[in-house]
Amino acid sequence: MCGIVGLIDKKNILKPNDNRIKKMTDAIAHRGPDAEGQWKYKNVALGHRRLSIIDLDPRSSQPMKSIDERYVISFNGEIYNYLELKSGLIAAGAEFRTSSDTEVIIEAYRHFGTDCVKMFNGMWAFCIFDKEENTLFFSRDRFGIKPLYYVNNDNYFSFSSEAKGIIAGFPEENIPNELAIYRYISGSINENVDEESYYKNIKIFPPAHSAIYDLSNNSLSFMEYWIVDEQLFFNKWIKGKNPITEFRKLFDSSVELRLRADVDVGACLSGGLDSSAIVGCASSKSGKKIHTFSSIYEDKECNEEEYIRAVNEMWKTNVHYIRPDDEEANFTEHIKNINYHHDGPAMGASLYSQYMVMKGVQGNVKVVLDGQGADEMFAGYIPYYSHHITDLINKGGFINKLKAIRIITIVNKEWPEIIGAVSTDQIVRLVGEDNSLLFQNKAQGINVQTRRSCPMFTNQFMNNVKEHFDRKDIRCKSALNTRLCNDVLSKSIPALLHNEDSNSMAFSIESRVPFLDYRIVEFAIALDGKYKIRGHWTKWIIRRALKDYLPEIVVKRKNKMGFPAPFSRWLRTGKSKDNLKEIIFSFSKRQIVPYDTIAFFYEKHISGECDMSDILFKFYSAELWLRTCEC
Amino acid sequence: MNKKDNSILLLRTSNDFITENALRYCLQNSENVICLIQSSQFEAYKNKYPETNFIDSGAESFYDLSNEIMQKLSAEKYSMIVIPTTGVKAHNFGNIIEITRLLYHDKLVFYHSDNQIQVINKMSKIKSMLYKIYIKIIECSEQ
Repeated sequence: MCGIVGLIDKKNILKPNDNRIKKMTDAIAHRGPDAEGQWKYKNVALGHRRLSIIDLDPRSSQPMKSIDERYVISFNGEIYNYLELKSGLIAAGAEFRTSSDTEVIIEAYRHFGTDCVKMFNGMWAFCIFDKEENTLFFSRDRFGIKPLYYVNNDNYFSFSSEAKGIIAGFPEENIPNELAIYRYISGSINENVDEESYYKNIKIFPPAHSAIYDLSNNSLSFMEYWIVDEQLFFNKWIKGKNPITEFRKLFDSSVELRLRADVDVGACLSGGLDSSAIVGCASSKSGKKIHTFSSIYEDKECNEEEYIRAVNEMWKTNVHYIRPDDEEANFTEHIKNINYHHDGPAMGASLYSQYMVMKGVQGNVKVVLDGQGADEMFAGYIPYYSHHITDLINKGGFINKLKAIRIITIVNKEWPEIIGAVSTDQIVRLVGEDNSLLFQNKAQGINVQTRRSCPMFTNQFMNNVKEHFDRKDIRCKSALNTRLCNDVLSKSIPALLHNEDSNSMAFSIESRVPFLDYRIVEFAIALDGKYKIRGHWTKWIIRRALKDYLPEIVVKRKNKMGFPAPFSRWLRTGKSKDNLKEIIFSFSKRQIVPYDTIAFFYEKHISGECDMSDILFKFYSAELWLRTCEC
Repeated sequence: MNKKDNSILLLRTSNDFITENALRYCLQNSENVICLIQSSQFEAYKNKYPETNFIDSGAESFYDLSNEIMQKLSAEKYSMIVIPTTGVKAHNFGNIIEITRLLYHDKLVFYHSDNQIQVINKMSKIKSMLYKIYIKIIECSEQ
């Protein structure tokens, strides 16, 4: 895993001795502390920072030229099935001089053209210059695990693994994007994922796409190389097979592939089903005591130590506990750093935990496995019950309706504090308007009421925001799979992967996500909802298929915390509460959210009347990020 | 039903982009569209859509509406009440149901941000009561 940058000087107006590409490469040095390189040819320049994971020899440094010097590549990521691809390419006559996956990409491109990416199992963002064709070929992995930003205007085309790489070369691109700030504050950023970044002109290269830049006419054309085909996925992974054993096979294979490295591989462990299963499988497959990294909090509602301990004891791991509470006094400095690495305001206080875990990983291992993606593919969140209920109602018949009423009643009893996550429209549809009021949580209702009691944005700000919702929702056969599929491909997962990459790369750590092996995603998209939600069990197939990797206490676990952070408590009684208050109220001077709204939310939270910590964090983080932009 | 004969109530429960899409949907179905709107947005909408009858909610949210506003809303019989949502589902809309259940209407229509429409017919009193009994039985049996 590394960092890539590049530029095309369309009008040859940039100075010949310009050190722009060096500046751009330096801006992302944290992504690759092991080596750096730049390469220039006519009006094209590529840069690279290397984090050596596979083939540690300097011969695998980049930008890398092909044997015949026709191709030059700058690549960020890992192609996990590179050994299998390499064997095939050697049989087809290809020659190799390194044992890296980078060279495999070059030769695969030479042999299969733009279709080569369809054969890759991994995570990537790369650019290949083709001297003969006078083109650049770009590609980003299917789910956007590896980032890629670009700017395309009349004078130049520039790209980078991080927006700051582009800004280092072109400071004029440091213009905040008001639409992204609007989406961030309103909480709709995960609902409207498109090419918008937090910078006005810097775009996000879409996942599952490749592009050809033709230098002869400066044209850029995109192509989608992977699309959802539920029927094809069903025929490929499920038809005629036992879904439980098939899932187990795919999961084992995915973890095994992601253990391929010439350095030690560890794992983040939250104590939930997904990260615990990964620790179990990785321990079992590697035959080594693997390093695990977990955050532990003082607060009972955030503390998952019981589950983490059970997993560590079961697999006799090398345990690393990180205690983010100890760093509370430096919280603001950490959030500033997170914003810097994220090229935008941090999505929520929970990112702080993930960031601190990655900080704890640094110096121990270079690669960690993480459980990202399982909740979205296998229905790990309570809101997914809305869609499950929709499917039951849509199936028709009185019995299905009674089943749905039973489920919603049990959910209401088990998790009354989050019943609001099940959508009101589906509850009304199921039990009618009067009965729907039985499924309301008063405490949560007060939070929602407080939030809706004031105008969220000033008219002045809204006049500058041009909302446009270019939704490209994919439709699957069931409501549940439709929601899950869209969450994985265009909503929450792209945002979570951005967090994962930014937080890990901040400490030069490569994070690998076994649940986002494309075979598992295809399997999950085609899998019937009954394997995902069964009664009051979420992620049923994971509990069933991977149970021997898990301690019983984790298999039967129903509560969910992820990577929490006690920001709510710190606002009220923390050592840094005055500092947090000052920053939150400073945000009102931006004329984005009215002062009265900020004061109202703040007072309601401090008085303990309700919990407004999520929205107060956004004001706080947005203010810190906007200050950085002004520097 | 004829466009002239029915009334539609639209509640501004989402952002402008989705509310305005929902308003266009309402205008396609009725010539008598009434829209309950937050005070801060009242003038802007009134100027932009002079043909629509806007009612100022007197606040920024639809919680604890005054008797006067509830009386205004109750003066009509609605063929549908349209509820726009910012997401693809309507989460935490209990306060809206508190209002709609007190108004005479045939259907609730949830207008989602992806332009998908969820139409829900008013449930009969008897059916509603039977479901309530069933829910109470489950609650007791799961203890």
